[in-house]
Amino acid sequence: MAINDDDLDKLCFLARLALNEGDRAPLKSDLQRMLGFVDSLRDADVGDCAPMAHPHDSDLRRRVDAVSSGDQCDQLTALAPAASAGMFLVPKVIE
Amino acid sequence: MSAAVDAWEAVIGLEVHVQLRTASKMFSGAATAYGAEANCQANVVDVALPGVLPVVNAEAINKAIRFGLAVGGDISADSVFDRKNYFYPDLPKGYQLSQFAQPIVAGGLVHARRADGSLLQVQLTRAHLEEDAGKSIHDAFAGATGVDYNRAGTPLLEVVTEPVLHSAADAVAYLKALHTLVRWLGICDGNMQEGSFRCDANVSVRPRGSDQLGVRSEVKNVNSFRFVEKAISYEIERHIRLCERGEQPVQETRLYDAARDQTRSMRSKEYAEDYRYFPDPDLPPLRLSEAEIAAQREQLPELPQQRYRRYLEELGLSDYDADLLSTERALSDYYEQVAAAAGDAKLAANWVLGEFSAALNSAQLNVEDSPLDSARLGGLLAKLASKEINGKIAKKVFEAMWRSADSAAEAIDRLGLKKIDDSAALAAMVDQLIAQHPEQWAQLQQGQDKLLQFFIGQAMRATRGQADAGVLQGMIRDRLGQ
Amino acid sequence: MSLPTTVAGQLDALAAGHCQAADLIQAAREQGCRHADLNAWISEVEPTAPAAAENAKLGGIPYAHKDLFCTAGVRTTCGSKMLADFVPPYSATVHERLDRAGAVLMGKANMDEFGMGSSNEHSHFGAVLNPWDRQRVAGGSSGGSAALVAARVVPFATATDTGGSIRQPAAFCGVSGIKPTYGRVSRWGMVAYASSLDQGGVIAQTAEDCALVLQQMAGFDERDSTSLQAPVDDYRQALQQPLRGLRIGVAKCFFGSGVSDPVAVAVNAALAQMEAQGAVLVDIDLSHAELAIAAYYLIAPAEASSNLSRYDGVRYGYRCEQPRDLDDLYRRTRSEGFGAEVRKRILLGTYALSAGYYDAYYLRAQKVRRLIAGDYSRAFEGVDLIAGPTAPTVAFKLGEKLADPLAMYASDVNTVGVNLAGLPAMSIPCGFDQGLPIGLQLIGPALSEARLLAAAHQYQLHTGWHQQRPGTSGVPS
Repeated sequence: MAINDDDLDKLCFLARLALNEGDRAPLKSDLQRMLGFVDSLRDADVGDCAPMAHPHDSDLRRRVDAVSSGDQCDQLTALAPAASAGMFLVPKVIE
Repeated sequence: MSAAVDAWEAVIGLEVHVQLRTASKMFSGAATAYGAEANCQANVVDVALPGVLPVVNAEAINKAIRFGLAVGGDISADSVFDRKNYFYPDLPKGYQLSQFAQPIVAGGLVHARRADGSLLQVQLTRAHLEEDAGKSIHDAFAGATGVDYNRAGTPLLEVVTEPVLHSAADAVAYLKALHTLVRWLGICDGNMQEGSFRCDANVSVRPRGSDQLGVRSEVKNVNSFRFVEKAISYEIERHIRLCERGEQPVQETRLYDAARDQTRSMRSKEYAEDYRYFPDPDLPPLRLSEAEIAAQREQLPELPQQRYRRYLEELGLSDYDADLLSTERALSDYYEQVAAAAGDAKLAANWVLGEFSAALNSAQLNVEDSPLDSARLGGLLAKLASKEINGKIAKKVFEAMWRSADSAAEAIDRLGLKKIDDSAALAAMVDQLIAQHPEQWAQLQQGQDKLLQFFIGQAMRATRGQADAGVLQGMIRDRLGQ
Repeated sequence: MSLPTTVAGQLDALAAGHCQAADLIQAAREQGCRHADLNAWISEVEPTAPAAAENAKLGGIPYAHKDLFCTAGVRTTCGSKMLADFVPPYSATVHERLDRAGAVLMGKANMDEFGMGSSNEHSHFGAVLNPWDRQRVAGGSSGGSAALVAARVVPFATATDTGGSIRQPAAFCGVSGIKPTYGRVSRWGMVAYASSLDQGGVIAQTAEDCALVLQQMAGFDERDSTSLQAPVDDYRQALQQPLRGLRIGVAKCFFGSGVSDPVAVAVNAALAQMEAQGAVLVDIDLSHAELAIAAYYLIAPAEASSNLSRYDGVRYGYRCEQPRDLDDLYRRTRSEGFGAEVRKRILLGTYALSAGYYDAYYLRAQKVRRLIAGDYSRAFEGVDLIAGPTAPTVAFKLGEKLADPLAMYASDVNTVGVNLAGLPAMSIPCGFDQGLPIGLQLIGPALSEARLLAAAHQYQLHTGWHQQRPGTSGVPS
């Protein structure tokens, strides 16, 4: 698979990463090599085997519906780069 | 325009986010109650601190199962929580947990009725569990948007229809039926102002007779039946206008602006989002056993459409009454109890929808808060049904019972409205009335039948309505020699 | 008086009254100062000797956490600028358990950023040096944990292993490390790299110490949906199980072309030693093993790309200066807050999950994963454990593989399969090449930690490799 500039721009958009023009060429080349490397999987005969998303064949355990935490607003907003009136702040979003 | 409109058929599919009524969140132990101060109901999981993990709420799963059973859908033995990846400030993890590839409910049918009473059956594609996002507050801070994660992680059941609806009115009929059903099942409080029941509509048009689907637009988060109807109507007209001009609508997400009664396109991004769904590695697949599903089936109440049919077919209620009595669970259950105690389903229907509903209305009370419980009202109606009292007295007794804790018998006693069933006393009174009104009696004897009512009326006045009109009529006719 | 440096030794000395917890803490601090140049700490804490607690199984024993276990009130950085000032308001289950066992936290150990690396050179806080040769890497991503134990600063350190991050640095630093069965140690509060592969474990000098510490860390946790409910075996008691009759599988694939001759020689000698102690060597075949590394480098970045989306500068952690708008906030925060290797893996993972490539990459890798897990299940029908070299070479030079990501990834060739299959595995010292330690990897079926620890312990009863320690000059003393 060849990674072109548009692919890279789109990946950076999806991952919300900025891209310095100086990084473009080496990044493209690294990704290219990494993809070339994982391409070895394409030749593997996987037949009709089911994908394995979890190491163990386990069932989802459920929790009883009960409230177990209280007001942590001060503690949590104290971690924020910007907060006011109990809310986390980001640059104004226009929908 | 109308000729042109007739040439096009609208195709509508709806996605409704039903907020499931649970005490705690889908994947965390934070409370879900509405209206708390910002971020006071968010914990370390809800704000996605590094290292936190989700644990699923059993009650959300049980409620989803009950919904699936109620619509006759297939409950998946295996369902999977996927990650839907995108960035937005109110999405704390950078992904939303949502059952994408393997939803908990597949298929199902919702039974709705149009305004004209005709039946509308709406095929569901699926219903899946997911978590809600937080809320962005755009107007509280200068130059900034505030984010409140109280709602983040609240359990949602997203109910998706096939693209089988063809008018805004049908869409609303379906939504109302779904709204009735989820409240009936007790899985959602149905509060649309608080966002407990939110609708996204996918709208497209195609030349009438075509079986292809047109390009659709999606109208997001419309939170009242009226606005849904308006937003969809607006979109249908907009699509038709474009198609008439030979233009292709674009696939996009639009917002409904209620103030302007129009939809507008949301700001588009440099690239289309690509949600990169994949199974959440933090949550193994949800496996449901037959026994678990059966346990939920046992908890299913009789459903609104089942009650409606039964009222119509077995109880002989009118379509109108059957509909009203099978819409709100509390009223319907109240009616069931009254009807059982009264022994007369139609009489009970008349009273529950008449006197009782009117009294609730004027007192601005919910059925649950009614001062008159179903057993007492049933007791009163039983007396009316057996003609122990008549309708006029029953209304007086009803009013007294509404304001007290008296049973029907106690209220009748207290009001001194006990029926006179001493036939000797009644006979004496009839004879006395005949003696007092010889002219009228003579006319009656000559065949002026309307004077029968005069004598009955006089007798009722003398007994303050406590005599049985039928008995009186029999006595008078006896004396006429009929 | 010289204090013992192992967990078992220190517990004995404390019990016998030969020393106090304060002495051990003091010794750890002094030894840390002597080895400050290793750059193994990200944060040191001011420890207090715990009040002697009843049933405190690790009472008074100093230790280090890999700096991705959340510790309430103590900053937890994951080796990243993104979390350089992050002080979590809650603690990992592992931390709570060790705290309850009376162990004394000395600080947070350096690591590759978010666990992404095999050399500990990808840390915002700088590379960790190998105590045996300060020109060489300590291995990664738990390089700080391994270096601190090797330099005898602390008797044990917590670590995590996503593709070899406990075993490879343990091998490079000449110490013992166990990566338990996936789900055996709670992941609550352990910052995620790749959630279906990450597993917490322990690095110590000996298998016995690993057993003592893992006993306290392991067990069901209702806060982790992937936590296993099976009861925890008595690991220390199991150590007495002799090697006699133990069937050890030897797979050719673990001795492939990248494995250096001295490593192969040392590992074969270790196998011969185990055979001499009564173990039976059996040739086995893991036919899809050569695909493991490609599958790993799709699955791990795919999960990471999603796991690391939460670092967006909104709720905690680094935020760029003066963001113009939301998009600028996201992009600059993430580009400035993450290092180059993390950004690269995020992009690779994003690619593997994106529309049009999901089936060819992510899904295919998950299918290969099943084949690899199947190979192991079949192998364990005929053997009790599988053995081979942990890493193909001894510790390489700092900077040697930085320019070439593929060469770096190749050092994980023998370790990643275990993570894909969710199995427990250990690395223990088994020799030296040019004065640098070599690691022997032992792999067991799910929940066979007791068997693994016993085999390693029995081997260590008859060998002295684990007792070798680096001198301050970098040569064995």
